[in-house]
Amino acid sequence: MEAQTSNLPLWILLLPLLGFVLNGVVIPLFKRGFALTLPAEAATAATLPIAAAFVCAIFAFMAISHGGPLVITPYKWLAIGPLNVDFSLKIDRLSGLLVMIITGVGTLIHIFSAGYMSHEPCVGRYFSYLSLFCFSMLLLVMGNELPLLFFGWEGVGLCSYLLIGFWYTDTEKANAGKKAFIANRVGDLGFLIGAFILFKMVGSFNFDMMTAKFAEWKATGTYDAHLVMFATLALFVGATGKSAQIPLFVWLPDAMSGPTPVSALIHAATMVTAGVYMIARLNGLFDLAPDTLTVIAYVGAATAIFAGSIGIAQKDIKKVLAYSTVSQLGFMFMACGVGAYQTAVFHLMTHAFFKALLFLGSGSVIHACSGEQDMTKMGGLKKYLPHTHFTMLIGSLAISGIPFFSGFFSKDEILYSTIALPGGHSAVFIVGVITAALTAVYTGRMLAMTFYGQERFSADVRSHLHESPGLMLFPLYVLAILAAAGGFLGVPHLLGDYLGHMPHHLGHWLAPVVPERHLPLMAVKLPLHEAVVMIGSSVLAIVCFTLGVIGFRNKQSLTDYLSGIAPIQKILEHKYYVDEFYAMAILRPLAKLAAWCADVMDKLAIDGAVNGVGNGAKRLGQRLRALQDGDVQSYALVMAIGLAFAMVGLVVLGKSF
Amino acid sequence: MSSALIPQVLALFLFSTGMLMVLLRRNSVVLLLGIELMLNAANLSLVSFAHDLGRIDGQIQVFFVITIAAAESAVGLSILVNLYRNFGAVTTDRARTMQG
Amino acid sequence: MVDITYILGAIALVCAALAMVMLFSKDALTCAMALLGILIGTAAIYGLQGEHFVATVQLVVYAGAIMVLFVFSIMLLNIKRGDADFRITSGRFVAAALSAVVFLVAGTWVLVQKIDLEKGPWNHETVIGLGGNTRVLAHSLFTEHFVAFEAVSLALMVALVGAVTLAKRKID
Repeated sequence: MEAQTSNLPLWILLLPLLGFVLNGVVIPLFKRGFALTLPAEAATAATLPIAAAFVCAIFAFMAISHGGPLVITPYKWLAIGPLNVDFSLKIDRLSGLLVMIITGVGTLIHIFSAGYMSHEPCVGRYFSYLSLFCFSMLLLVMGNELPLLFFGWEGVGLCSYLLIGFWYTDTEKANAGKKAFIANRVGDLGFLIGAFILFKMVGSFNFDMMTAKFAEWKATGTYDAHLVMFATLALFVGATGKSAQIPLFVWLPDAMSGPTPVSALIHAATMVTAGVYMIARLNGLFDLAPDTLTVIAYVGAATAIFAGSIGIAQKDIKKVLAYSTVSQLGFMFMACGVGAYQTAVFHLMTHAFFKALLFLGSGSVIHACSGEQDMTKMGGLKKYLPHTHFTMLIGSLAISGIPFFSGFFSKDEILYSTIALPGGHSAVFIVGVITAALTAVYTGRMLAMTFYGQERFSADVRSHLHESPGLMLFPLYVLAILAAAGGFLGVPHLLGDYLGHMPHHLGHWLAPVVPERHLPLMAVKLPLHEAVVMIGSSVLAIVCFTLGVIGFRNKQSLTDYLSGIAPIQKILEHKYYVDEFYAMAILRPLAKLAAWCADVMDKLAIDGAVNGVGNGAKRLGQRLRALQDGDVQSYALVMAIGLAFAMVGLVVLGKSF
Repeated sequence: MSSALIPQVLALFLFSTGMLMVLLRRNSVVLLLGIELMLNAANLSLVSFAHDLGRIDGQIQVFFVITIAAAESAVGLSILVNLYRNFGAVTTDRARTMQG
Repeated sequence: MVDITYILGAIALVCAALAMVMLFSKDALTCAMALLGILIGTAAIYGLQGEHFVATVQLVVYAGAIMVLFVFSIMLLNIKRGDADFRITSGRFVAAALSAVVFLVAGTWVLVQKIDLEKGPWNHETVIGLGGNTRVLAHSLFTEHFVAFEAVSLALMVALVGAVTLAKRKID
């Protein structure tokens, strides 16, 4: 459909930026610094713009439902020879969905933060970073040119660093922020290499032109397969950095040092999904590189099971959720890897709902327990925090894949895609099933250790135990509704036909941008029938969840059951010693290289050269000083010698008189 | 050697000798004498060329040079007297305050 | 009449010898006397070439006034016969001598080249016809080079004042 020009994208983009300017510049200017800003003022200044952006997003959604994508090109950014980049924003079906998620979940998290951070100092700084993050993420998804996407990509990385290290006076938290940024940057090198190769091949950074070019390549086959594979691999490396896959996932668990709403927004719903969005946007390119897709699928699967296994042994509630996020992102990449881009976006959406819900719920629990995050010191909180418990239960059911909650639909579609689609692999399917089981177990464990069983918290915590204020409960309930019902946007055909011809709304809606992959129906001969997969995974999910809840009601770790697996438990608890391995294999040699550079290269070579020049000039001056002996006749002698030379010159050049 | 050349060569020789005196002699008065010799040699060259080429510009120039040489030697000797007063002798190696 | 070349050659030799005396003499007065001799020799050369006025001026001003001044200064400063000022083997002498020799040789080489120079109209006969060397010179001096003439007289006056000021005994 034809694109329509509209100002809505620009409004949606600039409103959070307005929030950033208000909280970051205007209010501190009036109040002479961040310390004197009232939390309520800062929160209002940040929440109103993003809520307005959400309203605009709804208008945009309605506009693109009936017409073509909304495009606006305010100005030409770069025009340097063959490089032409417009500052162009586009809301089409894919970015429109993500804009709704970002602004909607973003607004809810702003509201939650207003309550959660009400006792913190310098809240204005927090909200300004949050608004800046929303601006960057919106630029990332709405940008119609790859450099704009990268601008947003870097921006969200920056805001992630700023927000993780919000309490920067604690060195550990500041280091976590640094780690996140550096890991992102390592991935960004891959992204840039991929982007440059892409530009060389296509000649433009514009997504419309790129999509047309990809279609042309697919039709004619006139593309360099090796170059495409290399470019897509490089882009995927960038995605591993941003979306926390192996090997660059190490920053996500450490990122839990930041405030919990930050974890909910950035590390569950939005920033970490940027990699998935990028691949979905460039799906035409990735379709031309089947080897890369295989790599993506296997890396996603490996990450999923790796993180899932670590999640079972963690004691910190936020760490469990962090590894759960890494695992679910692995699922999304598994979907991309088998060619089911739509399914990946579907899971992105449902994951945004239930993971944000779980994180906010955990924030509510932590808030109630006066900052306690260790689950071994919780338990039996159900009767103290009824609302939090109810919403978290819904979130847990959703993530575990219990039928008819949102996670069931999306996760099931992923699992079925891995065997049904031509790009599928059965190994990936098996890993997916095992990880789904693990997910249910550790989520049930988390729920049980926190809310059920004996109360293990101290008397001090008990005295301050209180349910969260309404400002924090409202977002929880909204997200609970979405987590429960959101799945019905993507009902598979099999069920849809039974439940009164409910179409796969999301699939149809995304079709113009992200092509549908029709999962074969009953008539075609398949290794496993779709219904078998569906029923099987439901049963598995229910069983494992119940196991997790009952099993960990009063025990905290697997060793309580099987003392023999204590060594394995230790490895899992210490996250397979990945951080220690990186420190030894990468960081130590780098530190040694840096020390060598400082001692040898800097001190000897560079300082030596610079000081040497100075010393040399000094010595030369001292030698030349001897020429000035105060004797006039010496000076005259020099003149006479000059005269002799002049005469010789005259003789030699004499003929040219 | 033609008659035109002898005065020129003599002038060259006198000039070089004067230059050597300026460079090598330690007594300031003798140094000034060397300068006078150089000026004189230049005069000789000028006049000889004027004579050879049938012009009178050289002679006019010499007129002025002699005048200025007189003025210069007068002033130079006054400076020498001052030198003698300040440094105690008229040898050139006495005035070394600008050394280094 | 002896060929002018021989007379010039003789005068040149005498002057050259006197110059050597000047260079190597350890007595300042001897140097002054040698210079006097050279001045008289050059005046003779001027006279031989028909430039009577310049010869006269040379004798009167240079030999008469300037040399007197020098001799007075030598006597005033009581300069005795000193030691040798320089050694032939010293580096300074070698360098200076070398530059002088180079200068000489190069200069002679240039002189020997056949260079076409514009000849003027004032040969001997014309000058005599116009009333002699002095008249011609005076005419040129007071018409063409009048400004220079006045400037030089000004310079002379300045030099006079300067010399007196510099040599005055300061009254404290």
